[in-house]
Amino acid sequence: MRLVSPLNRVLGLGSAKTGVEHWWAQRLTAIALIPLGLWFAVALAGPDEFNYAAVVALIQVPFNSVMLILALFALSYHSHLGVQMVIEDYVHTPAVKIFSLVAAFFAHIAVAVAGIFAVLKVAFGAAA
Amino acid sequence: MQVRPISGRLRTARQPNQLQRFALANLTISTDSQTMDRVERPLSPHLQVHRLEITSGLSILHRGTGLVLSAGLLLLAYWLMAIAGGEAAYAEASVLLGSAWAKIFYTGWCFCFFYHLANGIRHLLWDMLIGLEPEQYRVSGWAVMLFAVIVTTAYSLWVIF
Repeated sequence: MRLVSPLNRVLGLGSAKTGVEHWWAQRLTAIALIPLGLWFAVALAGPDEFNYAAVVALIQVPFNSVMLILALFALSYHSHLGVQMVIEDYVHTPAVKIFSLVAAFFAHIAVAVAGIFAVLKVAFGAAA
Repeated sequence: MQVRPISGRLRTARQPNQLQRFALANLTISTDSQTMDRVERPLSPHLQVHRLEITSGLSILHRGTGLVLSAGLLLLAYWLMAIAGGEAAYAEASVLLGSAWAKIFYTGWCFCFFYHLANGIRHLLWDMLIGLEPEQYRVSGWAVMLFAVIVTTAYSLWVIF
């Protein structure tokens, strides 16, 4: 039995049939970000001073490099899903909405690639 | 294909209730997108018709802090790129990142992080059908707020300042 009125069937309205994977990915990245976020907060509390040598030494610890890359991936993905949801909910002008969604998507890809590349470059650099 | 007239179905239906009368009087159903655009329906978020409560207030704050944290992601990438750029690039970025003004922003991001983290866990528990009773989600709401303020204060004093 279909719970869609005859009028909505004709107009093609009703369930969009997608959205589960968005919801699921948002929860998965949220769960991942609990330990990753707490680790990041603790890691930042480590160095006495944030001079160049100290931050390079921090990132070059293999465990920290991996955690940072995982965090950057999860953060970018989670942020992308959240910003997309906010735009879809509150931006009602079609042109502005599409432009914002496209711009936010590219910005998140760029941030993820830049962040992960930077961590790898520092991690693979000569040991301090 | 035989099309059943909709009007015939409406006439046999029982009397419309108050909400249905309002809908019939105010909304026009049309497939013409231009006509639909001109109908001034109330748009989400419906802040104008609801009194702000702890639940709705925290819900708005969850989105707000999420957006602020998204902006912070840009700063995180900038910081990492500055480190990858070498000692000179890092020294240049440190003028901005190490300033006293920046510390105020870090404290703000700190609150957003701890609030969004705690309230996010609250959301995940709701997804598991835990804490959905009114007295439970009000208490957990205040608990999340209290947690965020205390941890932000402690962390700011310990790490940032």
